[in-house]
Amino acid sequence: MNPTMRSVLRAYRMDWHKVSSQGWMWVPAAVLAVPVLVTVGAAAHMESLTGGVFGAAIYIYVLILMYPFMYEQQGHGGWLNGLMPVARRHQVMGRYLLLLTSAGLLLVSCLLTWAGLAVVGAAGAGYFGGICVCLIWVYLIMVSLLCPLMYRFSIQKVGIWFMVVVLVLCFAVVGGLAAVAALVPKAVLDRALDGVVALADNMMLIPILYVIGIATAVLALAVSFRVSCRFYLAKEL
Amino acid sequence: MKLIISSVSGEPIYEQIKTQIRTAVLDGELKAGEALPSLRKLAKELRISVLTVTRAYNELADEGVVQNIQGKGTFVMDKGNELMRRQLETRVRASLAEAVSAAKAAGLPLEQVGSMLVQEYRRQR
Amino acid sequence: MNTANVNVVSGGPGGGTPILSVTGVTKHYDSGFTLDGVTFDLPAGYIMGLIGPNGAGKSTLIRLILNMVRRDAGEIRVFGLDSIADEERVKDRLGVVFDSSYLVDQWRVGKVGRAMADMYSTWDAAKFDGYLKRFGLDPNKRVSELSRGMQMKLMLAIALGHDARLLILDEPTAGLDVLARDDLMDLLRDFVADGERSVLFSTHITADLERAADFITYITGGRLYYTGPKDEFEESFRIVKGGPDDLDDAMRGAAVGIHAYETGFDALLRAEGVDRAVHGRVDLGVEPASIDDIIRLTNTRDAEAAGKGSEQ
Repeated sequence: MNPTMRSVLRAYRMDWHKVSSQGWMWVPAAVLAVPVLVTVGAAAHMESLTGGVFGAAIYIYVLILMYPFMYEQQGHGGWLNGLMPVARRHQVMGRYLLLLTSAGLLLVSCLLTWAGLAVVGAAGAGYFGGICVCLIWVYLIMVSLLCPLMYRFSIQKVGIWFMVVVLVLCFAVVGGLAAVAALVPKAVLDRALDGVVALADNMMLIPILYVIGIATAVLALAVSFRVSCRFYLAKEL
Repeated sequence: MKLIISSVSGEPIYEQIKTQIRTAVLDGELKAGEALPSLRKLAKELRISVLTVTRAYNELADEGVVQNIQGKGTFVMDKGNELMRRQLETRVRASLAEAVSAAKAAGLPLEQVGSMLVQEYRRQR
Repeated sequence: MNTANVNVVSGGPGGGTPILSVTGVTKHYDSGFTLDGVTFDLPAGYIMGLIGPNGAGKSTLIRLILNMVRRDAGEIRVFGLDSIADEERVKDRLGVVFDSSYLVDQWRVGKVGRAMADMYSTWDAAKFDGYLKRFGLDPNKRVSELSRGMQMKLMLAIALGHDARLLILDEPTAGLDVLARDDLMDLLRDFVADGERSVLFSTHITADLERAADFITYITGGRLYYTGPKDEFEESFRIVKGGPDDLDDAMRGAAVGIHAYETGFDALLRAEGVDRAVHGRVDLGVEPASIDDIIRLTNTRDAEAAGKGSEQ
């Protein structure tokens, strides 16, 4: 195995040790919890549960990534990274490998949920594939943003700012939509919506959307990695 | 071999080691060809630096009392005993020469110098 | 010098590359504190004490060696390898003990062993477990449940558990009682006994230095004051003591540092200059200088003159 890969894996394994500091069972439990809860919710016709569960799921997978940062900022945890026989760049690579792993776990969770919904025969189970993809895309974009921030600022600061930004965005989106609905004449809106539905039914669009999605996600991760490296290599422990 | 080091006597530790080893050789306690304790072992037992012991051994080797053999250790020289005795005799003569010239400069008579010598000899050790 | 003498300072048994070689290392902090042009070597098989008052730059130096802070100038080589370019190879054989725990509080001691096994290529689990037993560390205890001294011992067990060639300790004895410090010094001595490994430890407990250090590097105010054999350091100074009237200009000029008090003074002089400065005045006392005396008295002037802020 080439030495770079070996170092990256050392950092990766250490990150998992940090993630499992309070036991490792919570990770598979989280992966299974989402499908189970959503499936049960769908079977019991409690669709409103779904939104909450997905929100919690995203949070948990972000948490997996946050744990190593947390422990590095607690006490003198940063010194462990200082004496590890792994170059800083490789440490960042290991962290991003962790990021991809949690995205992978999210994917597994989504697939299990899809299967569960199909088994239960829930309405809209067919569209769930599209929802999975969106979820993973949102997750990747979000952690691309969070990772460099966590290298640069304290977890508490990042957490608070993140919540503020998400809240503001939610209000902006909801407020914007409400404004549009209130201000734009109904006829224009109806035609716009018809246009969107037509677009959605256009099968040709789907591959293009996938390509755009993948490209943006890869770009976001690449930029994120470079910024993280810049921040971390400049850090004094 | 007995080695007692005092950290408060004011005399440098390596000198104390040298003196005691020289005495042991002169008294016959350390025989020709006998090995001195290894540097690190002695340093550990006396709780001092390896370099201190090294310096003592090196200076004794320079004096011809012991011999450092690379990889094997430090051994008392065959003629160590006599060589040392002769060196010390030379030192006695030199010191006496100094003392005598100082005495003459001060105008002290031989008898007084003699009794001062006896006093000093009895006072030490 | 007699070729039959034991070869010491030019490297170690046989005179190889020094285990640690620091050359012209400089670091500026925004606070104004600067570690300036520090240079010293540590040959294989010896123990070096890094001494100096608090804030002098000892911890900064250690962090520079570990590349935890970036150096502004200079070169650091460990085992002959550059400490930045070959960082991974260097740290694989480097054991470090800090003055506080760097481990995750929630980890149990057993888990620490498993985590470290993944980190070092030469990890020896049996050796690590052996040290745990020797130090009395319970594998089931969490790091947060250990006393400070036990945490230090855990870090030491980690440092010793992977065939390190250089051991760096930052104030290791601060939380230990006399017996434990004694054990530690013995352990360090055993560590360097094969002549292939070295120890660097920073401390301000000079009793430990007297017991185990071969070399001393003395840093004060961010500058190197002395590096070399410990014996030479002590022997190159003397303390001259006298009454208040004895402190004349000649004495002040000759002294490296003076502590004047109501009933007299202590002056630190270089050994070569003592006879001239004392010139036959029998009422002045001349004594050998201990490391504590030297540190104490070489900082009285610096304390007045510098006032430049200290390392944080």
